[in-house]
Amino acid sequence: MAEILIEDLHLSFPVLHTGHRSLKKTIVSTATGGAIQRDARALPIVHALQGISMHIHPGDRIALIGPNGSGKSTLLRVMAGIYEPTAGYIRTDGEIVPLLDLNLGLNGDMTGRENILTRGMYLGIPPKDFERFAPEIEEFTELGPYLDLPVRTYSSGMQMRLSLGVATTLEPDILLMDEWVLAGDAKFLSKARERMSRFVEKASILVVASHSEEIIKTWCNKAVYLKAGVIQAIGSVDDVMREYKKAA
Amino acid sequence: MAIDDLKRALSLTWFWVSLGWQDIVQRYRGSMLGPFWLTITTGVFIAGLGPLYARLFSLDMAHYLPYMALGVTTWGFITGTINDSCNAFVSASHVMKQMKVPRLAIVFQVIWRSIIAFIHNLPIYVIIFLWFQIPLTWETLLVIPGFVIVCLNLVWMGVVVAILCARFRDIAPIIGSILQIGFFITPVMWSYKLQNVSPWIVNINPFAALIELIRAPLLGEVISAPLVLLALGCLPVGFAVAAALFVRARRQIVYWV
Repeated sequence: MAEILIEDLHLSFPVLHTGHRSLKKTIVSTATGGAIQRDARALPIVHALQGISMHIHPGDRIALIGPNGSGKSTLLRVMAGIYEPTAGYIRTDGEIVPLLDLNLGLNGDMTGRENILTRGMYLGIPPKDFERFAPEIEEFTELGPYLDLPVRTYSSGMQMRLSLGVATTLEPDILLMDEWVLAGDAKFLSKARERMSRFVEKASILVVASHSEEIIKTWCNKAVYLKAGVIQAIGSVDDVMREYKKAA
Repeated sequence: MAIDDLKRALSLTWFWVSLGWQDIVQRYRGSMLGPFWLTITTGVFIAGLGPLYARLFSLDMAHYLPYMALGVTTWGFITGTINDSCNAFVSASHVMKQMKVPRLAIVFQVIWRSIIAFIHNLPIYVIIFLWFQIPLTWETLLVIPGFVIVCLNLVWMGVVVAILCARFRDIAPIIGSILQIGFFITPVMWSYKLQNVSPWIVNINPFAALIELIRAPLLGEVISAPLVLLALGCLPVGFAVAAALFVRARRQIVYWV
């Protein structure tokens, strides 16, 4: 059964910039006690998530809302297992597919077909199993003979079809999405929207980080309002949206 | 958690094996010679410099050229792997931030890719062996355990430099320069047996040991015991260092790149 359980989760990470990436500066600053290279010593730490607790059940469609930098994408990454919590507890059950960046693994010099294969591998489909999925993806993309041309010759719309075709091919239990995957409706052909809806509906749990009220109202049945890494409100979409608008 | 990473990296063998292949295939893209340009560049290097250095060192071509060819290709394999490992995490940053990928799988992919590139030298070996009529015996097969020991050493080296280079970006060029100096102090082009060099300078050099593990059996020579011990001794020490570093750094790597 698909499930995500998070208890009192904290996540902080260091932000490295030029000086911190240099071994020389780090050594010099250690040797001089920071008197000379003060900037290279203290790593700025971002406390991205603080005291997050939530329990997500099958059937939950959760919208993460909040201003920029409130920790929405970070929380998605924690759920996906990309970031590990600094403190607290997280347990996930079920197969997870994170769709944070559609362009992952698209290589301009490789043909469309090869790119489909690579993208599939990133999603966890071994090449030998891929033949099951390939015809269906190729048909959806409607790229025909273009599939044998390098992806750099594709228009952005064609690239989008390719990415989307692969990304939506699995049937994950838990689907984690950044909003722009669903957004930009004008760009999507109706066929793509239809495929997307089918894909989202099949997932047992959906968590989507979003700003768009339209997306939230279409896709979600619960919402979590995050601000500065802390949960401000959690509950039904309408209640949380009201809370969010009041604060904004 | 670090052990979990290792387990998952091993269970995802198909993942890094296929991606490593793809990296190689991509290198061929746009090249008329396809896979063989790797072979040909090395071949030209050996055919050009081999006779020259045989003259410079006043050594017998039939001895020197195979020796140097194996030395140069093995050295290229070892240093190529280390240099590539420097960028392992940095160049995979995009993937690491979008997907849950075991960190070790990324290093394995780099090492596997180097092994494939190394195998491209086989035609050169065949030509040299036929040309100079080097006899193949059962002892030649010792190259297989030798190669395995080399690869295992490269695994810990790869993990160490990949982590260090992800944290400190100025380490990669430092390693590059060290390896460049290493080329001259390691018996790649010169031979401590044919030339007047005291053996201790070789016996403390792990790179010399790694090269000899592959070169000696192929040339029908017996590898000296100190070198075997050195290569084997590096394994526990190296893996201990790599493991300690990995356990400490694993969680942080994704923030560094």
